[in-house]
Amino acid sequence: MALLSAVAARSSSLVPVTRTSLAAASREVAVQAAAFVLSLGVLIGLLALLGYDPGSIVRALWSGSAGSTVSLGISLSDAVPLMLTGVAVWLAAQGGLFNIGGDGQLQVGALAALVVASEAGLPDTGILLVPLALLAAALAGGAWASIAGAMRTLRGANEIISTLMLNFVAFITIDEVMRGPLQSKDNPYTPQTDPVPGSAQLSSLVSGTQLTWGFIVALVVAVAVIALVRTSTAGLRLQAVGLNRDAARHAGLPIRRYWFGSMAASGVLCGFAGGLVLLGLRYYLAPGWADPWGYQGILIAFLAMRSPLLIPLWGILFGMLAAAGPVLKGDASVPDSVVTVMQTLPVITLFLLTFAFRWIGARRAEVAA
Amino acid sequence: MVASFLLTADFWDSAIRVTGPIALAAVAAALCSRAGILFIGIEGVMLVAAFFSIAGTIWTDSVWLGVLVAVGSGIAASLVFGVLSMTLRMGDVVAGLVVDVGALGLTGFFKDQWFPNGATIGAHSLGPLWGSVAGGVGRVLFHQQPLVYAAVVAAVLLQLFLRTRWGLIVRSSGESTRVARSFGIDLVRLRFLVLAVAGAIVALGGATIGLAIVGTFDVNVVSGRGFIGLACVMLGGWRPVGAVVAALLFGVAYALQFRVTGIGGWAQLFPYVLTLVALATFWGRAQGPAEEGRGLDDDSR
Repeated sequence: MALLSAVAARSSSLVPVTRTSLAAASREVAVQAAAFVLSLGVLIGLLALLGYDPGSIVRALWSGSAGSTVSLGISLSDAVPLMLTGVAVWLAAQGGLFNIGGDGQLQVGALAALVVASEAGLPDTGILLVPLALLAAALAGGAWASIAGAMRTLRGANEIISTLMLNFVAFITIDEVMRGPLQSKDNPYTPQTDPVPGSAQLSSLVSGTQLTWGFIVALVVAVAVIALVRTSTAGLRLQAVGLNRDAARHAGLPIRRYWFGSMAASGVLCGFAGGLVLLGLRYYLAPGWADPWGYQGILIAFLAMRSPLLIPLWGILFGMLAAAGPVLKGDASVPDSVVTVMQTLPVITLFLLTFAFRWIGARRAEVAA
Repeated sequence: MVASFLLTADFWDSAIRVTGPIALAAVAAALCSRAGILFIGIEGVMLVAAFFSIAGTIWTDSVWLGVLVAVGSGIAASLVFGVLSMTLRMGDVVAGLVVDVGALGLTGFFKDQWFPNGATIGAHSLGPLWGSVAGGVGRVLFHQQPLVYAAVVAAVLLQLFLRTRWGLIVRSSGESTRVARSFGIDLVRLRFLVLAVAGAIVALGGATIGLAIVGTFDVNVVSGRGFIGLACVMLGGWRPVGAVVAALLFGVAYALQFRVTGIGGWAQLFPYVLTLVALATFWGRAQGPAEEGRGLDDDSR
């Protein structure tokens, strides 16, 4: 138990809200807000240097992401998978593992949801189809990640490489499935599946927008998982494993079990994200149906690694950027790839700020000495 | 009957053509692995080089100057990965993803910015340096575009290099940073040097995609071939020549899908599954460099 209280002391923004932890948390929020504002400023500045009109860029960014209920709906729908993959990557990292296979787990989850909703011959009622399809998605994603978890715990195989390889296995499999066994009967000449039946499609949250109640579910799940890891004994022990493996081993924690469990849970979240995207946003599989939400989840998780409650917020910000892309191209004539560039800028800025603080700290120490 | 096409020169010709860029990525990734760097940014570096190979060829009207521009851009992108990973302490995975995603965005942006009507090299392309060669086997082996041979030469040279005194220093960076430091080796400088060389080799792979295989720059034209290079390192047992052999396996599996209708596409799975099996069974972690991907300031040991 001494170990766990040491862990609790080390991760400053953990459970007890003392004055120091509140100060640390608000500083963390301030640094991240600065990172986002600075990178947006840098991006607009660079585009202005290239001759684009900053005013119309700002207007397009706003109208594309939040200027109307419709665009806000697009932003929040795009945030659904990102909130979950971000938390998934953060969860695995708590135990010291990298899950860079979120995309594969998400796609496998979507495939499982599609099979349950369309092919399993279940009665055509939403009250049965939706929960079963989402359950199948979560289990499939968890199973997919468990392969990497088992390889790590049983054979010591590097999970970065195995999850990356499992991504490709998933991509190729889904690509073949939509050309073969699940090829749409109505569109036999383009590789795609039939859409899930209407009863399995998530109903909208705000009428006239594409936002479904999947957003609420994703947000609740994301926050609940963070709270659970931060407050439960198992969560604290997982953090102990991640912070100091040897100390955790000496304290008698079954490290391999925690590794396997965190990897599987991470996959469950990604698979669930795939189910929500399929039933709430895309409805069928076709080439390019998924954005690289898993990779973006990694960027999000590492932005908010020390203040995970900001993960859903970053998910929404990334969703807003994605939604603004087409409008940026249409209204301000800026190539929409600029949105992809923007996804990397907050991470770079955040690490630059940290680097600068460290450098200033070192200089101060030098001067003091 | 199943495999009669396996004996045709056409099949092997196309298999080796698609192997070229993967093999170059594999050699570069092998070098990085042995120096303790997990080169996740390889995909982005390759994409940048593919873009600049085409842009350079369009600007200079010469394929070989295009290759040169690509190599320069590849070295630069690779060093950016090093700055993010080591100087800003992102670690190899996060730095790699930033480079990969950033390269995807920047190349897409500048393609639209500089080449709004499409980036195509037209009549230029990187083909075999000499005229036709008699015989099927002769054609397959001696009538490829020159960068395929560069992959083989680079792999052999690298394998020999790792046995030299300097090679030992590189390997010490991969096996034990503590030992390397105790011998007074500047690991940051060493790893930047390794990344520069690896960046140049990957860039040749990117140039192969741009100038010899596709001829046009599309968004994400590399489509995972850099990552496959990382897999080849594992499958090849962390040896450069083994990595190139593994790359050929991926090339053959890729070429199969156009030969075998129906199940052909599924054949693409084979090398990935084999890599996973290799990782899980007879290799595991024991064979890989101990420091791979752990960064230079990992204090958790």
